[in-house]
Amino acid sequence: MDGERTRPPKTIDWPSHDESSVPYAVYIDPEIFAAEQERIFQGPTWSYLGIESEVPKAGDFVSTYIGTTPVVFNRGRDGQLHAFVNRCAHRGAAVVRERRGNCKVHTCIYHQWSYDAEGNLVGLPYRRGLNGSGGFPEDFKLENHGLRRVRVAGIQGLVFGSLSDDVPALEDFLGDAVCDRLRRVFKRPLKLLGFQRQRIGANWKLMVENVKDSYHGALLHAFNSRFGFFRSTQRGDVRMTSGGIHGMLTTYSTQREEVASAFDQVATFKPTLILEDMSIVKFTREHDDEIVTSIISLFPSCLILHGGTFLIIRQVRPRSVGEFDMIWTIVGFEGEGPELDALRVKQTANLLGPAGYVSMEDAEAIEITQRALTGEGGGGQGVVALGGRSVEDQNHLVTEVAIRGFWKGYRRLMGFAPNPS
Amino acid sequence: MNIVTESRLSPETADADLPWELERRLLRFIRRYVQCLDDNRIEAWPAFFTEDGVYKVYPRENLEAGLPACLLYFDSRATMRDRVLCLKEVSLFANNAPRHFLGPSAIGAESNGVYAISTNVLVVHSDMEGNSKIFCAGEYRDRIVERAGKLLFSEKTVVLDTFTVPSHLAMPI
Repeated sequence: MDGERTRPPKTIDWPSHDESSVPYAVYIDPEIFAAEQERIFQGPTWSYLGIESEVPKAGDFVSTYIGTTPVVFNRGRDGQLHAFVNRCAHRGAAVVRERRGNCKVHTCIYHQWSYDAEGNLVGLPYRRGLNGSGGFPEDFKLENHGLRRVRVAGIQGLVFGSLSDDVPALEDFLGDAVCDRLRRVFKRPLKLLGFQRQRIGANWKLMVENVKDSYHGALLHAFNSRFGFFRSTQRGDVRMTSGGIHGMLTTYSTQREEVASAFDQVATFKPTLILEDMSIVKFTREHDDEIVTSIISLFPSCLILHGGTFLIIRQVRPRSVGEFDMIWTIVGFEGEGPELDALRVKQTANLLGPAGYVSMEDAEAIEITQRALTGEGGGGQGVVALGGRSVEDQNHLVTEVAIRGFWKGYRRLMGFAPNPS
Repeated sequence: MNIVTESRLSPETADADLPWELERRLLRFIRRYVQCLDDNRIEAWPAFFTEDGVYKVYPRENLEAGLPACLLYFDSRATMRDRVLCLKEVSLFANNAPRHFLGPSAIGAESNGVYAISTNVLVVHSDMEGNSKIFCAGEYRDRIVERAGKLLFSEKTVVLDTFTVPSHLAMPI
């Protein structure tokens, strides 16, 4: 049974009992990568699968992954969302070979075993044999040969899947503060605007840490500091849920009376970079509060960016210890017109995504990290002590506390070290 | 502003019989464009476009699904000049030398002074230690016009087959 495969935890010397040190081995050891698949991605967690708008009609399906496990989510004739592991119950071939589409049943090309949206086996050739010869044994029952089910749950149009039978309910897993923020950010039905993808030669956790890292924002991405788009000194805070594994980095407009003008033109400060076309940094005010940007990371591998005129969900798909894919799903809201769509597309392309002014450096930074760590062989440790050594919400952004929160939860799930708190 | 405008040249409309001299000028213009990129003369890149020219790098995945999201999207020379400024003075990216390889072009008939041309493109990146890798395969879908005796792109769409970008995309293709 899948639930009994968990191997004993690999031992690792975690450098200290607080959360401010990270042994480099976690980024380059293939055994740790394999253990993560079992204990995290197939463990009691929810992984982002996609958005409901990708599968509006009965029979619509999308191929995706939970960790390295290929998964399909689709809408059944009952209108409900279902998901299954994309591995034929017969000989293990991938049943669904398309990235996305619509079909009545999923039929494996190898021997034409067919499955419904829930993954139930609904038909196979030669079950009773041919002309009295062959066929499957009398005790062969279709219901014993379905695809492995994936639990599905959703919040505000986002769809999550879990391979674990022991996972808490999605909203309990995410925690109240995160759920509240998701309800704010994804306040109306989502409109899919498209995808961007990149393949990065680095460990998947370096990407997750990057999004929890408000330290680098204005340093690595010079566009931010030259333009004042996201600064460590901005009024902001870090909030975490579920013991620190999920994190939210929020920036607020500086003063209440400046809120309106901040949204008219983000540069209430003195930029040293003047663009001829300011529309790529134009803010569209969507909410009646002081929040300017929300950067939300949902453990293990879903990263959400909201601000300006962009709303993006990033899915990190680990491929091996030193490589992952990142899929950017670009969304707006139903009912928006072509002009707002176009502004979202323009801003997403030029500011964010694999080619964006405030994100292209991330790939380079974590690839050179991976190269250096691999070359040196994984001894030593990284330091994440900005803003302290422990894990608690903080009312500023001059901190690496959200990274520490990630490692605290990671250690617990991986069974790496006794957790002091 | 309608983003999804591309149409591939059909076999019927490709291979128009343009005057030989004109065809030679069009092909030379496309070649000069990629030479500009290969020679790392990025500051000269916006001048290949009309003042309101459109340049986009468009994942084939989105094209096929009718979705508008692009990897790069510029709708004027001004936005392209912003890109040049950022690439030269602000952004950090991998130090790869690009080389563009073009396939034979399919040239459509002129329509209202616009020439539609499709050209396969392959870009190889070579790193600072002299290792070369395919960066992307795709297709240029160009709209070329003549202004004051000069050929310019009114629209250039790079339809990317390699829509999973290796690492990141800094320079235009």
